[in-house]
Amino acid sequence: MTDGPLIVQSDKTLLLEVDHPQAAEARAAIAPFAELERSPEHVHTYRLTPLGLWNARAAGHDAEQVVDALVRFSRYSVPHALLVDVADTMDRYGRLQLAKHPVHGLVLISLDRAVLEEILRQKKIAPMLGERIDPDTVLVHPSERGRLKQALLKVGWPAEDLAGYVDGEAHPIELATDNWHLRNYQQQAVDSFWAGGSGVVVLPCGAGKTLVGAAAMAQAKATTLILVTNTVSGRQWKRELLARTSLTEDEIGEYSGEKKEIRPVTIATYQVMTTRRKGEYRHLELFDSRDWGLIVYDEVHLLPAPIFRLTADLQSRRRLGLTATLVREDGREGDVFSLIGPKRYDAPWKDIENQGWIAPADCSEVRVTLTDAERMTYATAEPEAKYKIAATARTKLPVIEAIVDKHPDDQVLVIGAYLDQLEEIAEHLGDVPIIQGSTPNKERERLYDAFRSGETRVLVVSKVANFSIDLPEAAVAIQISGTFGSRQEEAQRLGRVLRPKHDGRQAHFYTVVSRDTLDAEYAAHRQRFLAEQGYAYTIVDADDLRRPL
Amino acid sequence: MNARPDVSDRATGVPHSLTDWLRRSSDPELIALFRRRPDLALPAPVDLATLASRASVRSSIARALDSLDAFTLRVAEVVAILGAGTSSTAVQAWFNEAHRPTVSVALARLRDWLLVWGEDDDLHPVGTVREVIGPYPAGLGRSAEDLFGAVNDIALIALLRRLGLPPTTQPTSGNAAAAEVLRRLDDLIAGSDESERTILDRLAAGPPIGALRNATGSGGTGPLSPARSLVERGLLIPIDRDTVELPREVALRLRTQPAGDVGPQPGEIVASERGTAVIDGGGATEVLEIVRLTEMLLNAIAQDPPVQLRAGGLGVRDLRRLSRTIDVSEQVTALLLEVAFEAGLLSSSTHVDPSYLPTTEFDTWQRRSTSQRWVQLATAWLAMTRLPSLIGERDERDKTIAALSADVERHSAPTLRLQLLRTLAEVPPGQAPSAPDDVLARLAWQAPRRASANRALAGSMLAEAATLGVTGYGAITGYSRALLDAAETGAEQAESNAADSLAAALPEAVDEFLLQPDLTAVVPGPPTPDLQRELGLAAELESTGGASVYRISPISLRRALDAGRSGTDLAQFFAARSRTPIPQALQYLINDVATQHGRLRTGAATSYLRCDDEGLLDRVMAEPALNSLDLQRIAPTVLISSSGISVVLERLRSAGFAPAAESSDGALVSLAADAPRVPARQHSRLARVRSAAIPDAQLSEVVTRLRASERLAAAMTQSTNRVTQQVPGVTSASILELLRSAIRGERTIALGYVDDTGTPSQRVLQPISLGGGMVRGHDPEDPRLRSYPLQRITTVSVLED
Repeated sequence: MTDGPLIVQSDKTLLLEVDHPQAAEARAAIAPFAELERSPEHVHTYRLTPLGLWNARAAGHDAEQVVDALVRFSRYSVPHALLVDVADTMDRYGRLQLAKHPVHGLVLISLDRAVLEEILRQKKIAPMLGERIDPDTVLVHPSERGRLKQALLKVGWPAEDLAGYVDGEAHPIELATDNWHLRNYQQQAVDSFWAGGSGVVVLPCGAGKTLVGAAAMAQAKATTLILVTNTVSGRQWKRELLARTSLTEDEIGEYSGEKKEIRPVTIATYQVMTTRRKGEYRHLELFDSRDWGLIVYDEVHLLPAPIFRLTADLQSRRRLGLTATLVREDGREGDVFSLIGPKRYDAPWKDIENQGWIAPADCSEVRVTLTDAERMTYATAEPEAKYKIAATARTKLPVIEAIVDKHPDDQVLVIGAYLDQLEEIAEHLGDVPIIQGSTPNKERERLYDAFRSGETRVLVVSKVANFSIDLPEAAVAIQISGTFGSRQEEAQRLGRVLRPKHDGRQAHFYTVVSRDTLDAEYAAHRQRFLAEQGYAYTIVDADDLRRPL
Repeated sequence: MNARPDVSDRATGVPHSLTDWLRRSSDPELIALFRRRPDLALPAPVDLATLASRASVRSSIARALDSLDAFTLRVAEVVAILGAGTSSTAVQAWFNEAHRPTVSVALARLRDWLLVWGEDDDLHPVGTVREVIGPYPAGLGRSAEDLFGAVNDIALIALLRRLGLPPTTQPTSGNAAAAEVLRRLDDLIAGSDESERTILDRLAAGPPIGALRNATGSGGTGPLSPARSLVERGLLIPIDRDTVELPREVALRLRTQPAGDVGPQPGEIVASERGTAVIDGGGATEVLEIVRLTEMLLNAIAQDPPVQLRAGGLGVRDLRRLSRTIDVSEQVTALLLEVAFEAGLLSSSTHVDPSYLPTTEFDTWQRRSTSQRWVQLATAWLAMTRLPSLIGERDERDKTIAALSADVERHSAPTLRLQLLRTLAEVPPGQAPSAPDDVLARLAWQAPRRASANRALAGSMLAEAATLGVTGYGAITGYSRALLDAAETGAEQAESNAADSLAAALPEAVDEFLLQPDLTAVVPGPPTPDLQRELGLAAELESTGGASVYRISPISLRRALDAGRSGTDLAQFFAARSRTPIPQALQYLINDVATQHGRLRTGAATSYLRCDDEGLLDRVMAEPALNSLDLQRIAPTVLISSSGISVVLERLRSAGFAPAAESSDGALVSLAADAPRVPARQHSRLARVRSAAIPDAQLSEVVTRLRASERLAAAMTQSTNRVTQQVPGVTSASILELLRSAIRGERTIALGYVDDTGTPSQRVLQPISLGGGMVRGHDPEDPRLRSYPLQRITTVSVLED
């Protein structure tokens, strides 16, 4: 028994005591196979999953290394059953291989005939397989590659994909690193993505995911399709690519509701891709319109279902997913991993903050006490209306005003979910501009520009600004209502203020909640993701805030 | 049965019978025999002849053979083949030179077990040993002559022709074929190809029979299958439509050792060096888990007691529910239930519909240290006559076997369990068996006759041992070795040694936790019982193992408040026990929950009294005669009382008020007295039987009594004039006659007597009177008057003076 920093739990989580002298060493040893689940202040939680273990196998680690890391750093004896299970699980990887056959094309090869016999008898898998060429080789239709991999993963016999990727249509792309260079973690992210071929990179908001995308493109040197959440963020991508790479205006096309340009680098929105006309997804053809060498999925946690289905057909192309928060409230993280690829890089938010790449943020929960009348309305409301009543309580207005006043020198974003509430607060703050779903793209751009330039100090936004909007100088975000208990929304909203400030100022993130209501309960749930990333919320009473300091 | 001892030739010292052989045994030898074969001593045999015949009974022999190891059993089989009157040299001839010395040891063991008797030059298998061993002793078939003799003439003709013999009829044809095949045996064997040779070798190793479709028919026209070709050449002999047998002579020619491939040593258990610390540590991890799970399981049972099935046991649905609650598989849950029941921590209540509940012992158990708690569980598991692995399987009526039901009972379980652990304990400390199969193979060598039945059970016992932390990394832990000693010697000291040695292996208990901003608390090690209780109350356990992770939520805090903690208590508790500062969010959470707690109040009242006239209620409150009603005013117009409605009505009426009873909707009701009832009778709990070792004192008494009856019998053969024997309960005229004449002639008699426990014995009596179904008299050495009921007397003999 050593006095290591790691404690192995029977539910296959690993607890890493951060303050332990060996913590860094242990973290490096377990990172390849265990997934970081929570990273609050003192004890980080990793989880051993079959997927994580198989990814480790795919990256060339063997069971012995895993067992050794566990045993070496564990404080207490590691349960024997768990070690056996790790070895068994890892042993299942690679019994089947997807490979390119010189004559027959894509084939599934088994190194263990019993496994092949087993999967040939699986009702869901058998239809994806073609003719049996010899006892150990089965033909696979190239279009089934993704679905087959997904299905094999589900039955616990993950296939090692040796079939490789198509290079796509070559197109010269270089990073224009005149006065800047890739940060360490960005370089690592690109490297491990490239080594793995396809996969997801998880970086906090404001940590420069776009640059990871750009660097991947420079690495691929091929035509690229970039999928983004909305037009505004698409244009941001374009601006960034123009500034940071050798690409020119003519080489980058926009494929959106407004324009339909297909160029060597094409930026398309999820929305236009999933628009249906006469029940058909007309624009999905875009995927086949060019011989893309790389497909980038921005904010991959929002990937809509039709794109999932299509992505399954694109297994021979390199795919890069980018996100800050791989928590899907619909629980489809597994599909992201099997279709886009496994997680290739993940950095805890606090690590990046400590390196100074994102602004340190101070999170506060401001508690407002409802008036008696409001409490009565809340108490007697229908259950489904309760959250809205609590979240949009008028009592919040003066409190929001007080917060805005508290930061006279900062750019402030007020973020909410309910339009009437947004209008109310805009008016209350003295007719500040609002951006919401119905605001035309041109108007949005104008307002954002005004905000960026400092012309507008306070901006009220609906959830359209939840993601991908780059507002470097926003230093204060006030969240006044949200989409129920969505954890990733909370994180994304914090992300709006995390761009490092030119003077290194601290960012402030306020959540205004009505005390003793559903609003407060949802807020607690929303905060979980960030709390697990190590952000500590300070609870402030609204009355204290309004008192002159 | 002949009650007389056989006449032996004491001058030459050669025993002539088993009884005679027994007579020569010393007292300690007999006691040792009884210890090995307890079924011979219970009920106590009347005399050595009874003992001899009991030792020859089929079931007793089978039990004795069951406990022999593979080599000793094989020696017994060889003795059975050779038959009565063989010698140890003849037996040894069946074994390779190297094994011969061990054969004598095995023979000595067989004599100890009373499976073989006689001196080295005159060995006899006891009684039914041959029958019990079965048709193929030492894996050998019958002789060629016997086998060919049973084949019908038509089938034999073809073979005879092939062997170049004239066609004849049985028995001549059979004998001729056998002789010819044996004569040409070496050529025939040499002429077989590789696949034929494989078949021959397999059958030669035993058992000597194999399946061959249509064995008696002809081979058809195509190429012959290897087995068929062997039949055609007379090396295999069809014994029925689908079976062939290899003649004994052929097998013996093929074997390198006539007795077969059996060595005096079991197979090696391949073990790798792990170190005792690692093994004990691995076990200790499981120990912590099992103790925690048991506690959790029993608490879950107390919360929502599962009902006992009518046929006894716990329903499948309840088992599934419990396994979900404690988050382990149903197999493990079943094991925990059985062990807890055996350890006396769980029992069924004695209500009308019995349900399972933790016992008061559970409370005591909870207060003990972890190591003591585990020792209690592990000891229970060792001695358990139940097989938890059967739970969930189907019984012979295709019904699922329920946990805690009578179907799980197997009396052989503790023996097998001990054997298994002893086998594990043979591996040197610090080494762990690489494969459990080696251990199971060793076990099979130790008890080959039960091997096939035991293998699956032993396999699941190994799994149970691992789950319970009896083993770590597949090796028996140091503290379990101590426990094994305790189980074998029954010494209390060994048990406490086990607890001490376990306590040393357990990681040190932790009395603090780390609080994190995401409202989790991590106890970085096994928690002290006190910490576990308090934290378990105020937070939800999320993950267990080396450490415990708790999540604090409003619900969990409310639970702590419900249990009587105050907000300040909780804040202090977290502040005092946390290694890290309390996150502000937690402080707020505690305050919020604490201020909201208890704003609604409830209390107990049996009845209420309401009246719109507050003045009238004032009068009621002021009335001294109503003090006994314990009235309390909870609102100006409402009083409550802890007395029932009928009492309240009666007292009020007698105090001069005019109350009326109302139903919940305000209607007036009249109250009728309930008809009295008593609770239904209780179901009786399943009787549990347990085999216990017979104490030494009792065994030596049996031997003493045997010797006495021997002496008596010897005296009688010289002096008795008549011996009467009868079926107990039937008093034959001859007995009465004999008794009467003895009384008249004042003669001393020997009585065969069965006491009220059914134990037969011999008594000596000077009878005085006969009447009322009793014979009275006194022992010549004891003047006290004794009386014996006539129906218990089995034999009477008059002794010479």
